Amino acid sequence: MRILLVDDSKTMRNIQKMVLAQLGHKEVLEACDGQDALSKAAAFRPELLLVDWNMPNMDGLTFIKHYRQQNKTVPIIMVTTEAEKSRVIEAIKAGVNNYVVKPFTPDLLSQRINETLAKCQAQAAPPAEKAPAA
Amino acid sequence: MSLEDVGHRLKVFISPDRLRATLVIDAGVDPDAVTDQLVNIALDEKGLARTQDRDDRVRDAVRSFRAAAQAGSQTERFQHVIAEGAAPVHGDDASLEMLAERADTEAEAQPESTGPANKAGPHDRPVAPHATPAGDGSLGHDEASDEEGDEGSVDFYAQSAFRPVVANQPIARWRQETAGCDGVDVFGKAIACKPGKPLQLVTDDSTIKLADGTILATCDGLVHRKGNVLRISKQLRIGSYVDFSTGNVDVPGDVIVDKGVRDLFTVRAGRSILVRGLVEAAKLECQRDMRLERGMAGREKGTLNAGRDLNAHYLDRVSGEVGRDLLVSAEITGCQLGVGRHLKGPTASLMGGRVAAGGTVELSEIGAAAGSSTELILGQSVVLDELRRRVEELMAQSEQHATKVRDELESLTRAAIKLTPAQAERMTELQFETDNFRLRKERLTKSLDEISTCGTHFGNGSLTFHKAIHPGVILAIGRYRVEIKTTIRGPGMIELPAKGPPRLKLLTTGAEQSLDAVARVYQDGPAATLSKSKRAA
Repeated sequence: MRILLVDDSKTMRNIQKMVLAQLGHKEVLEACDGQDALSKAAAFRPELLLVDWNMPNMDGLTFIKHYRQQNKTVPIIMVTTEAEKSRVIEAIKAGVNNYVVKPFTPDLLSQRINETLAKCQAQAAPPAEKAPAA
Repeated sequence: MSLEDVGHRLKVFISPDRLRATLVIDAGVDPDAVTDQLVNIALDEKGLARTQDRDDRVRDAVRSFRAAAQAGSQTERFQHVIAEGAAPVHGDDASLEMLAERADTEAEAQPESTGPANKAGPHDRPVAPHATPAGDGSLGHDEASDEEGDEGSVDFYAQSAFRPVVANQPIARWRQETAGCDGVDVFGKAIACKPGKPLQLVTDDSTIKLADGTILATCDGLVHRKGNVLRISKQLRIGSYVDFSTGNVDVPGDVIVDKGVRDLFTVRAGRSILVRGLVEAAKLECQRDMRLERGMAGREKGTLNAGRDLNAHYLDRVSGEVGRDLLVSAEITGCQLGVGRHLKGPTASLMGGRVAAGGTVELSEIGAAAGSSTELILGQSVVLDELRRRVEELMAQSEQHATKVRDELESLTRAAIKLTPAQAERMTELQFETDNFRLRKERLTKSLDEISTCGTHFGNGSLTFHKAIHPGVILAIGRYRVEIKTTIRGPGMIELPAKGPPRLKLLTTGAEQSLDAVARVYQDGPAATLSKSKRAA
């Protein structure tokens, strides 16, 4: 699975990369801000994005708004220190599928990644046929 | 004076290289009789090409002649260069500028090219006269080693004559030959130039030539340049001693020393070492096998470390470690050695010192009739011990770091009601590190288990002796310590049975017996604590 990590902190990207590696995801591309991510996303065609909120040049929310104009289905997890309810709602309105607040544990991040992917797969799968009435 | 007379007294000389024509007018010729036309006739008779330059020079010559005559010097012979050609510019020979080495043993700091123009650079200096990588090539100097130490002192031991190169390192720059430029003689004919000679360099896949002429090494090794051959050699052969003429040796491949290694020098090889002569109190290290054909007299200063097998004629007061088997043909005296696997010396004697072998030991004689303190530890792999020690050390370090991380994490958790973004990121980092410590501890614990399993695989070892074991010898087998009190005549074997203390088996009769009659046997802890237990006893 192709995953795009968008965070201005190299340490945070490394941490997320290691968690992803533990989950078996090796095809990971890094971007250091929203602009960088926009330019890389077109060629990389990620299947999951982990995006920080506060970044220089272009913040995570602006990036998501731009990205969602082109792609409405690829799951996005916001990984940020912005924990206020209003901010979370704002992010979800912009098209975020899940939300991880820093500080997080590797277990929590793994859990959020897994549940986001499972949810998106379930939505993508065709609805089960109804059993015929007795 | 008739025109014909004047014509006879006006001559044109051509230089042997045909690059210069000189007009000579004898003394006493009437200046008014010498005209441009007359001179041109003389030049045309010689076949000189008519050019604008020639015409200008003729005019100048006539004017000069007349001026000289007016000045009253017509008594002297008049000379004037009337035509000049252009010498050819010969091409330069192809050359190789060595980047990774500066002197060539064979060439004695002479040109690197086929042409005569190149001379040795200012960096050149004499090199070890007997040293050749993979045979008879050349070696570069370590220029850095020329530098003086911090206090102005020079370590002459460290002034190595050998500078290894690593893969992808530029080692030389190829300069193409040039075609040159033809000249022209005074008759207007071309004088052919000599084009530069190409360099017929013989290389193999240890080097690669880039489009810009740079030659790179494709593997680690030593630059070998002899005549037209350029390659990277994995083997260094030193025809004489490792001494002040060579300095210390540290190369990625094999090292062969035809003579010996002098006191306090170091020979370090990425692969194997072969020394045909005597090794003095030096330091030898290699990743693979070591062969000391004459042996090593370490005088308690010499050390060796062989990654795999060590084969030596004798070892005297040497300390070190052997990764796999130690094979000795004569004797081991006063050494402190750790052998990872077997010690094989069916004709050798062991006298004094302390030797530990992970596998079996076969010797001719152990100790001396006069009594010498000789310790032999059997079945305890020093390599495994070392590994165990390192793993335990890593675990301790890791635990220490983990404690610091946990403390910082706790203080962050307690102090901050609302974390700043930087604190939140730091906390994530610390939580991740804590998680990593847990995984690392699991891995280290697993490693310790594997080391223990390996130890079981090696077993308790056994000792086979062909001649005798003398009093004063201390053997450690498993948890038993055996102090020999009476000479035991061989051939025999001492090994630890499944239960009980070690037993002696006489190989001539096949009879087995207790060691109690010839030795004092203690069961007082693992063999590694041999020296301590001995003191306690």
